[in-house]
Amino acid sequence: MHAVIERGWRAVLGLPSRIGIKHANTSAAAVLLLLALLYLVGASDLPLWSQHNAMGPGMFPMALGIVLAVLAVMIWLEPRSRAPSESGTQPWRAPMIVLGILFIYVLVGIPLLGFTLANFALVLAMRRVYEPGFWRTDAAGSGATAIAVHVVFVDIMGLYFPVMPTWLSR
Amino acid sequence: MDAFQGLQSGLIQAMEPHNLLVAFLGVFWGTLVGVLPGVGPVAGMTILIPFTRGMDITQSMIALAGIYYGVMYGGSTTSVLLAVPGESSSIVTILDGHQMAKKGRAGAALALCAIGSFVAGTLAVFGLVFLAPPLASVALDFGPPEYFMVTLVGLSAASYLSSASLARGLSMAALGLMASTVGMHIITGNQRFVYDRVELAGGLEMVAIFMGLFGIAEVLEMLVAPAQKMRHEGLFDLRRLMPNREERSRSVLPILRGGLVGFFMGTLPGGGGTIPTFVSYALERKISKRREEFGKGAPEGVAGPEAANNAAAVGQMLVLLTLGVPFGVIAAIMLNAMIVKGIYPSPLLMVRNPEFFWTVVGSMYIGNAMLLVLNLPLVGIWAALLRIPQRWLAPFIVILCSVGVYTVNFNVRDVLLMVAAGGVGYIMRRADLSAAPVAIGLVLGPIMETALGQSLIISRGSLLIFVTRPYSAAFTVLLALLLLWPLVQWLVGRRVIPVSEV
Repeated sequence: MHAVIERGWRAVLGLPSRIGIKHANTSAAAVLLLLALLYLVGASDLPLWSQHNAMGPGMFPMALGIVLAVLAVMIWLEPRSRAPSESGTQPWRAPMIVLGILFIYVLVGIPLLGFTLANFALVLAMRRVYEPGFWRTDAAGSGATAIAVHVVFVDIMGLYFPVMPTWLSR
Repeated sequence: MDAFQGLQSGLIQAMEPHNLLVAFLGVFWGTLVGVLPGVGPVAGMTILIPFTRGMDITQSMIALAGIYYGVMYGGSTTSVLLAVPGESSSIVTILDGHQMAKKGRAGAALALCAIGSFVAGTLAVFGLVFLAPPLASVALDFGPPEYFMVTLVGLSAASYLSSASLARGLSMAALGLMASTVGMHIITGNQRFVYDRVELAGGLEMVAIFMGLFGIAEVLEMLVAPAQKMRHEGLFDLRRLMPNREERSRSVLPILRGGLVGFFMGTLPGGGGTIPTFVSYALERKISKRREEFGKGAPEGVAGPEAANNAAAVGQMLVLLTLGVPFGVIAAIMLNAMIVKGIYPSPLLMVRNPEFFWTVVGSMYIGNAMLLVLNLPLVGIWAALLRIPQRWLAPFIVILCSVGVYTVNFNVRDVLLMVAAGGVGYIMRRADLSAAPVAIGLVLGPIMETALGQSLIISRGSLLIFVTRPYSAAFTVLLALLLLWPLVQWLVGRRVIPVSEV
């Protein structure tokens, strides 16, 4: 009986045949549940109804938050339907380094160095992560890329970018 | 203006020199993006959206449609030459296309992809021309309840079919809908989830989120994806570009069947992308008298799916232009581009903006023709692009995305949002969560909420309105079937096989 119920439940979730109950989805479910709860807290400040019994600004968010919370629980309960992606030995280290480089590029690079120099630094840093070559080659290639971007987008297309560092333009 | 006159006028407009140039640039860029390993169609389109801001809406749509066709063809190129799908709907092409290449028939395989796409796309455009008016007239009876239900069905179907499970797909759709609520409430004007931040008052910038989820996430994915090496260098000879007589004769009916399958599947919620190609391949294999050749270089296995792929795109455009409802991520991006320009697709679009409607339809045909005429001779260039190392490609994509996003509002915070969305997108991929439903939910959120609010006003707060009106009730039943489909299949003894879509 328990097996029948379990097969039915997995069928409702739309999963292939039995692999075994695992909680590999716990992290995803936990994050989604947290998001749902935070969203519901924010939505609770909004009125559910407005004038003349019309739908208020809080109703749609409230419904979405509840739906997401329920779905998060469903994800937590479902077994992992397939093996994690074959993605090499370190699926996190290098991407997080590149992500960090991108954040530094936006938060520090552009204000401190200006658009063109920040692009040079970005390309150089990323090339060192993806496939480091000789420093001189990487630097030359990065410089050429930054200059090309400047010429195409700023000079030819006439788009406005903060080319100069913000501390210089004050 | 009847359909024929409309198409005639649209073709004339589409063949204006500036529109032809835009179509060429779109097709060229789309093919380039489709060929480049690691850059999908969504990323390719979103990168170009900001650069279409200087164009008028017609040219923007021509460019985006050209990109879409180009990406599909470019994806086929990598499938045939590298056995690597440039995008998800090119997966099936590997099965027989790469085998043809191994036999020295790479040129013929690529030609079949282009010819099949052109023929099926052309037929599908005619299908659009003659089906759009009656579909629009039916849709004129649609009110807010119908629009709410059709968008809900479309979002649910696309979410389910693009994800590993129903719960995962719907949760991502819910995330997209939630993100769309940030900013000012359309009906009451209340600020929601803004927390006194001025930059959030206008809502989250969709282009930044799209680029992050698809463009930046792809760049991060390149670091962990196995290196793709050219497995088959050549026997690629331009003199052997065309299919021989036998290949041509074996491809005619598969192209026609694939076009029919793809077009009608494209009009269904979630019916675009990979599914029409798999259905076409399965159909051709089932009815073929040379079944044993499938998987070993059967021309039918290339021509049919490629035809279905292109025709499905036209089917999605039919629904988008007549109902204003996107049934896929690409259509959602195009809808966003239209809304930004002040065009709201609806059944009255043909009446209110006939020039725009028919020019876009005409440009779809022109784009198809360009694909055929221009891309085949340039296929040597595309093959060379496959050798671009990631250390060059990844920074180029990042800079292009950054430039594109920055030029939307000239605000660095949008670039920051893009990077954050990129991180989220990468984490989602590791967790087997598809980003496509997020994008669709983000675009459809305001439409759904407005339709829901209006429906509840009409019904004085009663949800029964969604089951008492005929069309709305039909969509409600469809939604119920969709959500219960896994259970139904279990009851009849079949397994559910979800299909992933980029």
